[in-house]
Amino acid sequence: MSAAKSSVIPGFGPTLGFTLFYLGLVVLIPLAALLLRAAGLGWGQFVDAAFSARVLAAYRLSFGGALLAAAANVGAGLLVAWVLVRYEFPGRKLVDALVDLPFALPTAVAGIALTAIYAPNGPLGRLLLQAGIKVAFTPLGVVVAMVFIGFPFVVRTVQPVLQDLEVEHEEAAVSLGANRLQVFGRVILPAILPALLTGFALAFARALGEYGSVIFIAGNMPGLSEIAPLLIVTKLEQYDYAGATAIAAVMLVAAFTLLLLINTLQKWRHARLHGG
Amino acid sequence: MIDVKNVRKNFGGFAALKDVSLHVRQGELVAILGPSGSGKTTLLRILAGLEFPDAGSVLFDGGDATHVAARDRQVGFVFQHYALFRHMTVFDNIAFGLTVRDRASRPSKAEIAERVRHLLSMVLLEGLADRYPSQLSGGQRQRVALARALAIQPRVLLLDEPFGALDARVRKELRRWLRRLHDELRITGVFVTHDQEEALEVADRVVVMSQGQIEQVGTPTDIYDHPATPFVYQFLGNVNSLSCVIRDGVAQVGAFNLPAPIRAGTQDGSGVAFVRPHDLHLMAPSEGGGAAAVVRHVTVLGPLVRLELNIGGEILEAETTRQRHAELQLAPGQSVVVWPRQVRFFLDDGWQGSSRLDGAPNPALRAAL
Repeated sequence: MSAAKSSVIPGFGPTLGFTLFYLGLVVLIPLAALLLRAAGLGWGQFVDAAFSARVLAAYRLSFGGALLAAAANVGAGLLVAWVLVRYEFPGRKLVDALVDLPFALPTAVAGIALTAIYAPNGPLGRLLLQAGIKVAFTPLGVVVAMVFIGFPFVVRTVQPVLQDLEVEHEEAAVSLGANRLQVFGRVILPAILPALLTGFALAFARALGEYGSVIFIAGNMPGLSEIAPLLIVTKLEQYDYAGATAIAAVMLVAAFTLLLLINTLQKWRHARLHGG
Repeated sequence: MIDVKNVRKNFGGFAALKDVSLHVRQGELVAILGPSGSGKTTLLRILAGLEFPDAGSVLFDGGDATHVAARDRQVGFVFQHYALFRHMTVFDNIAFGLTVRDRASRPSKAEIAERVRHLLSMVLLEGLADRYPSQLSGGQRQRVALARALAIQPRVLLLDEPFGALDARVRKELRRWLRRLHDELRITGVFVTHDQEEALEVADRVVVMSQGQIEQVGTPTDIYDHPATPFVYQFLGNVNSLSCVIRDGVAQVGAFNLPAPIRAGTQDGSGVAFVRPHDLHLMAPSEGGGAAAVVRHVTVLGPLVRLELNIGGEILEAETTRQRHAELQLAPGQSVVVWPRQVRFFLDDGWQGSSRLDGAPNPALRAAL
């Protein structure tokens, strides 16, 4: 409560009250209902529904694919953010606006477009097939769709931090004898790491929950290219609500644990930096 | 030893440096003094290799360094806003220049620790090795930045407005300390400042720059006592600038009629004349002759009193002592008589010189004028 006393803008009580109420209404109550529903199953039924071989394979694809896609987006997003911040070129504003398109596009449209391009008879898919790489209707296709929809997150989280990064720090490092790799690794990267981590977490969460764009390109072969959200929808279509909530509950807990881990990592870094 | 020869630098259509040449002697501390936009920081950055000249050359100890990259120059650079690495401790900041060396030339861990400890004691920050920059005061941060620059044993130390971001008291302390440190280390140093007091106090020699050109180079006393151009005169301290016309032995300087300065060649001419605020002698109307003035504004600054005077429609600044202020009982609206004790002329024909007019003019001279 000491924060309330020293704060410039009063209203700690009402704002916290609203925050909790809103979080409860929008996030917690639906999730609690979900867990309650899942808890309605007996332990044996729950394990059968949530941990069968087919479901486990789907978890593996969903989590593995989302992690891979988020990692790919960290690299690509950092590069794009760097180019947008550090260079002046004609059409920069246009490129900047293009970055947000995956946010705006209906996911089904994205899925169909990606499938058309990467299918064995699509323009890119044909070329890749000649090189022995099959994208559409494989786990690789799932990752491609996840990369697409998660792309803006890293760019948008890193961009403002890069913008605020003073060139002086790099100049100081260079005048002290650092080479380019050292300037990047020891001066720039540590400064943007929190933003990169946040971008990673957001891209990961988005890819994990993604449904629309993935199911078109995935091919949805059970045990191979079937994602967990699709399994949930499948169960729902079979009126197996309990089974669907069991899978959802597992995903929820796993996703929450991972995001909490990333946040903790951030906190720890922040505390170390600012002598917390 | 640094030699800058005929360096030019343009940014787009803007000429930041126009044909600048400068020699800095071994072990000397030189201040580059000028207003913002005078090209002083550009010159410093060219010395550091952070910017490259369009024409001309830069030599370190006689060797051409014009196109040597910053990382190979062995130059210590201190930034106005410190540019400390926020995610590193004070120790790691200072050690940075040593730890980035390749394996062959990198000192051992123990040697690095020893050198950092030595530098920390030199900048009076023992015991703060494990702090992060955010936990330090501005003055401490700047000293860490200095230690970091010195750690690589630079051939030249360059400082860009090193005290610009500090408050007045810390700034004063730090610049005396820098002067002492330089006397100990005798490293060739160049620092940039827009603060004339700082330049005059700290530097062995001062380079005054304006609009991409060097106006004057000299010792602080030289620069202050014998300013080469009107710009230098105006830039060093407060000054009243008046138009002047010299005809038939009389110099009309603003509202003052003064005896013309003694000079060779033609007597008549025109130009500008400068009077320092403390050279304006204030008198009660009964005390002597001069120009009539009305006090507009009085500001007491410690032992000094600063006045704004309206002399024939022109506003001049004058400075006087608290004692004189009390004697004359100066207040806004009051009439006084003003006489300039010393005037510096810069005439359009190129002649320049000072004219001392000690004391109030005697009535005979006044009548003659």
